[in-house]
Amino acid sequence: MPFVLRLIVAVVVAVVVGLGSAWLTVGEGWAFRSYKAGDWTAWPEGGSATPDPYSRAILARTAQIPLGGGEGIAFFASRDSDRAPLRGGCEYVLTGDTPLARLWTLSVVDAKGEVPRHRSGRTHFHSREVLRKPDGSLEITLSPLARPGNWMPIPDSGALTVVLRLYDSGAANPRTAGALLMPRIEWKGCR
Amino acid sequence: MRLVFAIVFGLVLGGIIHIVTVLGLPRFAADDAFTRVAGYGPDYRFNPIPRPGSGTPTLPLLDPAFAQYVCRFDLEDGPVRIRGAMPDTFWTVAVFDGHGVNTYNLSDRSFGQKPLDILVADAEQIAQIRENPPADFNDLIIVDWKADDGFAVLRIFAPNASDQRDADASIAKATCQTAPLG
Repeated sequence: MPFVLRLIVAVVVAVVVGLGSAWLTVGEGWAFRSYKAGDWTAWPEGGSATPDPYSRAILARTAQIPLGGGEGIAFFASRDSDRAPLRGGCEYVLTGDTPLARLWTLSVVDAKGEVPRHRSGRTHFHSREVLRKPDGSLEITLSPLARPGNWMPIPDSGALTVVLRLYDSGAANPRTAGALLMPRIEWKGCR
Repeated sequence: MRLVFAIVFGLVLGGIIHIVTVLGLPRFAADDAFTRVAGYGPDYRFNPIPRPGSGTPTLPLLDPAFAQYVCRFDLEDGPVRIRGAMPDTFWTVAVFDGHGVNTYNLSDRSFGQKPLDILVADAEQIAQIRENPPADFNDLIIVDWKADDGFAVLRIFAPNASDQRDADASIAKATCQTAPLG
């Protein structure tokens, strides 16, 4: 094999491996160190004052302004408690309880990361409007159709991610928070 | 054998390209948060960030239950004082550096019943202020700033339209301006 050909092989390998791995870690967010709790995942490194180089690159690329630990923490769930992807048009029930927080909000984003519009005009649900069961636990219905009790509207179709943001909460510090008890997302059915 | 050497050489070179790309991204990103928030209004005042779900493009992954405002500043013009009476609800303040790193952040609990009052200054400016401190110096929260430019973000819990109006009214009176030294 002539030298020039070997040089081309080396350069092609370098570019594919170098840019490919950079794209996977930064572009696809593989390197965003995650913090898992039940059905939920958070990325506290993104809101850290001293983020690692991958998180810095992800922040610069996406223009996110994430919550810092002194504000709160955002947990994301794209799958139900049976590990099936969450879909618009289906009905889910969020049960259990959240970690201690002064305030929490619940919302959803679509596959593009955008907050979908719902005919009810509602884009969120929060802890100051929640009705608790007699034993103090939560039951929030996620459905495209209006439901009695605690109802969070979701779209009629498409992939879905549920976002639970805990404000002023010890859960924002993974090192000291311990094991978090997060609500479960149970599938009820699809239309 | 020589082909194996070429591949190994390519892998090592690829590793270097990976590191340079990741480290270089914050420096060369043309569309980072600091750049994008400039489009929401002039520097040195709090401008509203569009709410997600309102139909207007906005920053990714914002909480739709909050009214959020941003103020850009540059410490080369002097230290920046951020103050205002916030509505009687949950709110947070965060100071980001020019690369969009959330460097300093607090919730309303840190202020008790007192209004928001923060001074962002670098080490040299803090030393100058200490020499001739203003009367309310002891009540001030001072942020020791390691960068030049940055932006402050106020997030006010505003689940309904009436809360949004209250938040807007408070923000209209809030300031985010260069403060005199001493």
